[in-house]
Amino acid sequence: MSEKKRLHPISVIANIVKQLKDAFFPLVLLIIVGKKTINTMWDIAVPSAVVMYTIVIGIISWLRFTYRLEEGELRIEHGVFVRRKRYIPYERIQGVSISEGFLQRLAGVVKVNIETAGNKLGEAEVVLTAVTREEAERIQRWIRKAKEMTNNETTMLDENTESSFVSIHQRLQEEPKNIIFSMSFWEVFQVAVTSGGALSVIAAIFVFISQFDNIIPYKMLYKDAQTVFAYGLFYTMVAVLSIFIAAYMISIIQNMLRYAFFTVEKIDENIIISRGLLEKRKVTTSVTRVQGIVIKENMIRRWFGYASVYIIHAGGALDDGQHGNIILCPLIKKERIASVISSCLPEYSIHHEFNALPKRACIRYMARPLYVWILPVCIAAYFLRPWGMLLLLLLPIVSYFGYLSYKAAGWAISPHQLALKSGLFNVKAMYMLKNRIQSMEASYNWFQKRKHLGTIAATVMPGIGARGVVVDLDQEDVKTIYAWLKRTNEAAKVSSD
Amino acid sequence: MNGEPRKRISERALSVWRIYGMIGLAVSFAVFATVTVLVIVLDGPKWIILILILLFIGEGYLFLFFIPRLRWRRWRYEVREQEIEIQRGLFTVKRTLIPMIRVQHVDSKQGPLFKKYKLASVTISTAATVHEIPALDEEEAEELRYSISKLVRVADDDV
Repeated sequence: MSEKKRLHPISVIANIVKQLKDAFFPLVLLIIVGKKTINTMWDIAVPSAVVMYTIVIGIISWLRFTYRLEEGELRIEHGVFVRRKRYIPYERIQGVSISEGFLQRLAGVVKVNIETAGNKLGEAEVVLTAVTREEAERIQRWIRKAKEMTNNETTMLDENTESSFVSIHQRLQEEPKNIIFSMSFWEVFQVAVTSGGALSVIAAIFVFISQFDNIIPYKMLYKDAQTVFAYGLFYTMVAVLSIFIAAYMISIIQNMLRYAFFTVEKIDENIIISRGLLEKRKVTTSVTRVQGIVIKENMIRRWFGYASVYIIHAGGALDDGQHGNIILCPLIKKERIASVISSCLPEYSIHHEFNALPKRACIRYMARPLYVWILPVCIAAYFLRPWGMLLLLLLPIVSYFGYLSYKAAGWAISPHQLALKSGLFNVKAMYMLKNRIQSMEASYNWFQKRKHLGTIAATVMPGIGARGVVVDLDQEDVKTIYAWLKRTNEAAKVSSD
Repeated sequence: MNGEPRKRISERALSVWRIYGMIGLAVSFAVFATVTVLVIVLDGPKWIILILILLFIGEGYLFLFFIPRLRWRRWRYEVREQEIEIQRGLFTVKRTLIPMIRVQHVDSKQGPLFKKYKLASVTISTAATVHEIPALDEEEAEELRYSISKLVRVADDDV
């Protein structure tokens, strides 16, 4: 299999669709501007030129994209203006995963994601957008065989490397065997309704609207403003409200499509997460690559005793391009977490109680939000007298939030595991195994020192998502946790008292 | 916290930090001088000049004496068989523990100013984080790098 190969032609369409999707909003804006300022010829010419260009580029880049397996390397050449070559030795390939999107299913092909070992952020994996099923299987086989050859000489084949190349048929067609977690339709709906995604859609819409600011001829509108104003206010309200509702609906639908048929199964040492309605996704990761577990409870979900579980994993960006964290359970009753984790990742234990922070930390937690709020609130209250004085009520409220996050924070250690919990609207509990912690930091500033408090932080992976921090622990507790990670010297002494 | 890391960084770090401080001081001198000239030319209130002089003296004290000294006193490190420990921080005292088995590689580097003072800084990288020990004696840095990489090879992953 050394000849150069191209992807299935459907990838041309996939590329063009993707490109056009990116170009859609700018194009719409262009047309709107065009109507006001430029003559009609250009109105059509520019967008169609863009579309033409995208199509042509799409075809050429498909022609230029070739891959082959040669001399123990996966060799990829691509690029329209700048020609790029990327050669990846088999040993560097961590895993091959296969997914099929809507377009792929139309053409009966699959998308092959080849993860490389690079653990630096931004290190891209290789995506073969559209190859036939047989071809995908052949690629997997080739890489596995090459890996075996290199491995055989030194040691026995590493179990994990082998099983991360589960046969494609098994993964996409066979009935799942060992389902650890799945969600009913009703639960999927709940996830969609309570997710923060709604907010992000609204934010996106606002960003979109704010782009109009530069374009809409406000001065012209201003003349009519007075007459319009009376109606205007009402209609704007209605418009804004409906935008909110629409955004929320869109987000619900998006999330439902995303999380439909969510299942987690375990085959040997691999965790396989599959989900999606329109675009089916399968993420496979081996247990050895799991660096930690994160349990997130946002405010609404906590109310109903639900949480979501993520795993921090080392390796390529698998899940929606998010680096590091994979969602294991989008929504799960808190009581169930322990059993899911124990069957999925038996090394971790979830059930233990958290140690609370000392009472004297409470004041610091309650005061901390005030640092930010007190000045603007007071200024606003002063200038908006008399009703603005009501704003002062915000201060006890934010302080109460501080109290809530004081209540939420905590820590726990067992001989092999550290758990750190903190947060306010999104309470995040992070579970880390001792032998996964890359570094630990204990710190205290002047104010903390006076009260005998300290901060502890532990990191298992690059990025903020993989760093657990708890502020204002009792300094003795900080010492205990710190000493827990130590292996030499006074470690034993300190942890015993 | 008791049981601080035992080793200190080179005392020559103070000289380097003071040079940095002086560069900063030169910049603010330029700014302050401009303002002073403007105040005089435009016949502005004279107390501004007084404040600027006080600011200048304050900055000089802070960046030439107080901060370098404190920073140097805070900086400590220790390399043990199974772990590396670093302490630093001016207002917030931070102590970092890096298990030896987590260390990926160790670098040392030396800028022109460091070279002049025979200093080098050592960077310790794990898969997730990077930690720097600044301003060590050249030979010490070299030795440290060597001994860490030796310990890394020895350290085993049993927990």
